[in-house]
Amino acid sequence: MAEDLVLDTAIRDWVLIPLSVVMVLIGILRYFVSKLMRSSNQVPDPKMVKEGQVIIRARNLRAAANYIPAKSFRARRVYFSNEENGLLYVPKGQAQNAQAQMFSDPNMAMDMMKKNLSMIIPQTLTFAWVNFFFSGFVAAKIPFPLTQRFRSMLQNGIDLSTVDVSYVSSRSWYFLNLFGLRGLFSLILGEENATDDTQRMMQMSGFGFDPTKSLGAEKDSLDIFQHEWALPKFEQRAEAVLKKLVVSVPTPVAETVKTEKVKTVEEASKEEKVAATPAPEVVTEEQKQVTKEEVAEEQVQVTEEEVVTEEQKQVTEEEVAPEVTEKQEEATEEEVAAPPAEKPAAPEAETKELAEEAVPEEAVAKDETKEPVEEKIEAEVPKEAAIEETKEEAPKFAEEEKPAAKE
Amino acid sequence: MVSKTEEEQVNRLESQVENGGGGEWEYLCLVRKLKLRRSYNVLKYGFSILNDPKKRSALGPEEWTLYEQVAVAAMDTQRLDMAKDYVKVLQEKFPESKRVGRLEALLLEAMGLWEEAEKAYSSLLEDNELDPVIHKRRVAMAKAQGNISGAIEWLNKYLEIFMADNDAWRELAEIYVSLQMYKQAAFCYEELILSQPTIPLYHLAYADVLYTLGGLENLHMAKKYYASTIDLTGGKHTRALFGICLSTSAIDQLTKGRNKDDKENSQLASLSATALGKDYKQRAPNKVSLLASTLKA
Repeated sequence: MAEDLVLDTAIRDWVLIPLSVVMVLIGILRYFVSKLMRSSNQVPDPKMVKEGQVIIRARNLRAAANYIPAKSFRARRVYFSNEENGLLYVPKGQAQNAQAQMFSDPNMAMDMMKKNLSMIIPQTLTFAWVNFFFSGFVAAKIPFPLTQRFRSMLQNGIDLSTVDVSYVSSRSWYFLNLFGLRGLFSLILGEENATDDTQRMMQMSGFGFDPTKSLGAEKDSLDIFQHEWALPKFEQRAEAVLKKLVVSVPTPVAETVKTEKVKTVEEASKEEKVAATPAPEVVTEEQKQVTKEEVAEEQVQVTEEEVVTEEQKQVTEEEVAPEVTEKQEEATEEEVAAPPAEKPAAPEAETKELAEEAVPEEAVAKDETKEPVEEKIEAEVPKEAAIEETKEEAPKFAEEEKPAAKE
Repeated sequence: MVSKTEEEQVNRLESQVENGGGGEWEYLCLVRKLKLRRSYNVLKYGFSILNDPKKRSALGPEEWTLYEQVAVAAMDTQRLDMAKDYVKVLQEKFPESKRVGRLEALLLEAMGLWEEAEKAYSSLLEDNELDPVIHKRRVAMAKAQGNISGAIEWLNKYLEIFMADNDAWRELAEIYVSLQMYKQAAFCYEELILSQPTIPLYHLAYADVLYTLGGLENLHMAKKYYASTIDLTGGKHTRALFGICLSTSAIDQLTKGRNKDDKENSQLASLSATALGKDYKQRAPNKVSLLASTLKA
């Protein structure tokens, strides 16, 4: 029997809206009261902090263990789960202690009590008020049908058993608001407001065990873990990536670079080259003679002198080429040479520094094309130790800034 | 880590403010949020805001954060007189505050009075054992005085408590590298890789350190990490490509007599060489022959 009850609009004006408004106001009041009452002992316990950090580190170890070599993983595992002084090792006696200590510590207990009180009292009061004033009539209709089981919960003031369960009393409106206004509060009051009753209630149960239990859990999972070094796979993946990169842009035939590569690398690679660039192979033999001359020249001198002679040749050849574009190219090159994937501030500062160093050098000695070009080359051409030294100096420089700025 | 949109926003605001448009306050807020180090700009604009009493009162309670920010910027640009003034203002307003105490110690540090600053920091630490900022300031002080081993010691102590602080690990790694203590540096980089395995920067640095350590096994590992860097950056990372070529040639030199598994090695090396060649061609065509000669050696 689904007869449609017509509900007085006065109900809406005088029950639903005021109830919501009152609950919002009480929530705000609670928030400010809790802020005032929050004691200033915000000093975190050193042990807790350390344990928290250890847990994070152990979790990271487990998550990414496949990226570090097996030896280091094993060393770290021993460090964590060693019997005597491993970080995660928790003797059984201590586990019990933590909880007992938690409750006997007067400060903690007071804090908990205060928080509880500020939750429970307004709730109780509001509930009683609703029951007293707003009971005995139908307040709202729920838009979807419900089973008979909900009758006792939602219709407690209404003593007619024939009324559809969708018609509820104001008590249910109260509960609805209680749980639903959380979202509104986080909008008004910003995050971290004290109205998350349900969350707090859930947290109560798992209180004192947390640190010691999770340490034990981490230790166990770390013991179980099997280390599989993922790096060899990476080599193959890198090959695949490079292959795609090389093949995708088919470069024209007559390139001394490619043909020189063909020459320098051994037999197996030649097959690769065949697959990648079929054309140049035909031309290699012709080119070989040309390059042989260059090779003969270069092999005589030391590589650095090579650089000079090469550059001299190039410079004499291309006097017309404007230096501005060179500068730009080098600047962009250096910028990209720094890790492009992530963009922390440091490498950008580093590359800007390097680029800036390169630019004024050029601006100064514009007439003499040789020297600044040489300097740039020596700054750029990554010979074995040069990369590490220059790039280490620069990031060290930039990193010194970082901890100072970390205030 | 600064996200790209925020970066653009900062740059836009910076250019806007420099050209005389409004928006100084937003710029300062953004700089503060992202912890950027634009001390000169911050000082200039903050100074202009703070000296204008109308604008200052318009800020309301944010005024004091601005004081703090500008004080730090003044210390950074060595305008110690201004810094002292601002710190004094803050002291009058918040007499017992730890935050202001920190600023005072920072001022002492900026003035170069290391012992007083050290004393100030120690007393602050007594109140609050676990303030990471103070620990880091101590490390920075040791480093600034040139006392690198002291810096290492403090940093190690800090890391014993706060193990999950990536930037601290990074700092330690770079200090070790500067002191050529490569094994320890390798350890630090491993920590970094563990916590953030998808950042190619750490793989690259680890590979560099391994390569520098030398030895056949390390060279093999270095090559693998260069390869992982290439993988993580889609094959465009010049330095990693060079790293592969170099480590391959170093391995070849070491294993001259015995030909182990040459097959896949040479593929990787030649591929990376080709990729390098293409890269140079695109961006610096005059260097191409230079590259060729280098790679041959």
